[in-house]
Amino acid sequence: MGFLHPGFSEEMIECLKGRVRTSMGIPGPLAVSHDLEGMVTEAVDTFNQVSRSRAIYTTMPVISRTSSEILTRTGSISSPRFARLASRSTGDLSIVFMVATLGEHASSLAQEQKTLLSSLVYDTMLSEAVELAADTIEDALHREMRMHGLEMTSRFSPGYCDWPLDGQRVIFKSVDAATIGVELNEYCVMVPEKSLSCIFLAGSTIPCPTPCSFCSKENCPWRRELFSES
Amino acid sequence: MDSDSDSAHRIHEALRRHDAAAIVDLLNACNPERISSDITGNLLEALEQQRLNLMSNALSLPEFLLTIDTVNACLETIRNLGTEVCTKNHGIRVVIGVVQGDPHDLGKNIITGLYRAHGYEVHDLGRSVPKDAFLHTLMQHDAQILALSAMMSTTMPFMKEIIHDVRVTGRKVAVILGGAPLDAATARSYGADGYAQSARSAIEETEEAFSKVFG
Repeated sequence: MGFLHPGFSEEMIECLKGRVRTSMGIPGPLAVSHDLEGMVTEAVDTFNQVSRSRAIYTTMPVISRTSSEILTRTGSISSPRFARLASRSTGDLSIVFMVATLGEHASSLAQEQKTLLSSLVYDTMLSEAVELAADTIEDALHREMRMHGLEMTSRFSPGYCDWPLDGQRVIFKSVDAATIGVELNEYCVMVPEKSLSCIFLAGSTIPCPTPCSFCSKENCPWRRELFSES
Repeated sequence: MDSDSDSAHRIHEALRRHDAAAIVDLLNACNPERISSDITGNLLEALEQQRLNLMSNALSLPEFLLTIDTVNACLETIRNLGTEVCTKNHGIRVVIGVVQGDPHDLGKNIITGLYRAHGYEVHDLGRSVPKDAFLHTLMQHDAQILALSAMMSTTMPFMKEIIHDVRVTGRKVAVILGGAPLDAATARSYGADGYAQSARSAIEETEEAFSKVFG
């Protein structure tokens, strides 16, 4: 079990501001009369003062796999597409389970806003922040795997692609997320809200970073790679 | 106060600039008798124009949210002046909330603001609302519209249970659903009268659902 404290460096804060600006359409063809850019800067600065981002992860060997699921000691990952990715991978396969959070205080910032616009700015900023924290952790895990001569997929989360949301249970059974302040409610929703859970597949060779290349759903808003085989 | 067309133009311009203070100045300079009908009418006309701009992608969502915030601030001022806000939706009561177990309420908050700006009387139950609370509040306020939101596939089925419980009472209620995992077909299969895909079309879809139930 590993713990990470992916603090937000100055570089990450600038990156976060850029991501939020892009997400909010700044600069864009549609004029925004209000000082939206100022609001974004203020939101990121406020977040930076209260953020307590933390992550926990652990690695478990793959015990077996079928065409529709991957089995580990703590349970199965029921995603036919991710199982297909595993079936194309080689070596001793393992699954990295991870949960990351921005912390309770940061997560509540959007709730504290009094106007719809500031709620949108803060909600967008927090969603981008948790993704940015996860990107940083993912990079660190990739480096660690490479040091051991292993390849690893990009992160894959329950509720996306063909992995049902109740896949959260196997992740929370695998890592003690309560130690970083994250709990799962009975509907598989994480509390605090601005948290992220995911898995990675590691092995000697991994054919592609995501199961998107096995999926022909053209207009999927979460597509990360082109469809490359039937 | 200036002529009707002049005040309408000034309100349209002030709303475009999100200048609530300018609208409040207009309100204060206005004969109270005109506030309820003329000025509120101008305000809602301007809001509708901005919504159409949003639908045609001539306006961004942040800009539209600013518009809603401005309209609601103005309606609050009108109420504080002791004047009733008269709109075509006057007297239509909405109960809205995010279903049990689901903490994602940004979409619901936007729709709540939109409903209020359009003159609906909104009873917002918040997020992660137990299903009995919806029925209780519907009955308590004799509401005509129930708007349910869910952002997760695991909490979405509660909508079906809530709709079933409402229908069992025999009350005439227009039920409208919204949320990322839903689509119109699922909403229909749950027994809803309408599906609000986004803030762009929520008002039209709600009016359609209302007409379907109340004629």
